[in-house]
Amino acid sequence: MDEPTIEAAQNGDRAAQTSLIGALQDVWYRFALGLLRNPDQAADAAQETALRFLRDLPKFKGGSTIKTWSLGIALNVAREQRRRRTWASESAASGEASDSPSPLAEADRAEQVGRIRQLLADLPDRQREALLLRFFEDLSVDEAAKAMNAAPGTIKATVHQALRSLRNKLM
Amino acid sequence: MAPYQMSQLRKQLQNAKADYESAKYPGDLAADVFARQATRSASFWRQTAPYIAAAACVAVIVGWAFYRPSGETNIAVSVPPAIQTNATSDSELAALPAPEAIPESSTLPSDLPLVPSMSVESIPSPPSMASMDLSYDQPSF
Repeated sequence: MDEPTIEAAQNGDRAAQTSLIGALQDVWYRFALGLLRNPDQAADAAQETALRFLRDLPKFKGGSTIKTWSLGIALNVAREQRRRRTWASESAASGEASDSPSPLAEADRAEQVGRIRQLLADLPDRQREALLLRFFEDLSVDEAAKAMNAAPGTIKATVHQALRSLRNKLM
Repeated sequence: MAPYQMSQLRKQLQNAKADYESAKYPGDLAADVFARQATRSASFWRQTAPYIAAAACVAVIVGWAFYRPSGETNIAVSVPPAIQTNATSDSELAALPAPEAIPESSTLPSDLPLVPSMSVESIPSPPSMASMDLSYDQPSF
């Protein structure tokens, strides 16, 4: 995702846009999957994120990396989808996600992953968002703050609360 | 106890992160998005085209009605009947003064008084009424 590619994509170059979307599609999908816990909804969210990404790309000024900027879009899309989702579909989605096959080979590791995934799912939305951005997408505090449109201090406090909650539940 | 908990948590988070990163978008997102864009665009025109066509037809009809050439009209326009006036005869025209005789500006006739004449005698006296007789010396009944 070099600067000339971004500029070309901003100017409407279809090949550059395809290249950018190809580089970011897994980031958007796994982030949406982590927040929504439903593969179909995550795929829809990734598509909507890509559409808004293309629409808003000319407005990107380079104040952050394009990945951080696009994760802000993905976060807004996931939040909108979460708001639209009914409680019934949310329960079904949760069950579906936990039944999906794990790529991990070891049974105990899969069990651990399933457990931590469930604990992450039980976190409040903001804490889960902050944790995904900080530890799973490896964003800095400032980058996560930009993506979440929040103050860095708020992100630090939110991540701290999330880790403390996870630690208590693991005991 | 706390460091053990943290290392356990870190280990589990790392495992979860590996699982998280293994998720891939199923397919080619760019192709899906561009196809969706084209579908949206086609759908937009499919929904909008009838309205645009109807608006264009209305505009053409209105424009034709207002700006049609006057010689090609076939619409029967009801004309109100002409007001019947008495025709002016030649003798009446001959009685009128010639244009040269008409003064530039109108003037008042000199033989008419500017103030109408009025004499006091012309005002009649008020009628006598019994109720207005205020002398009570002699009863009237």
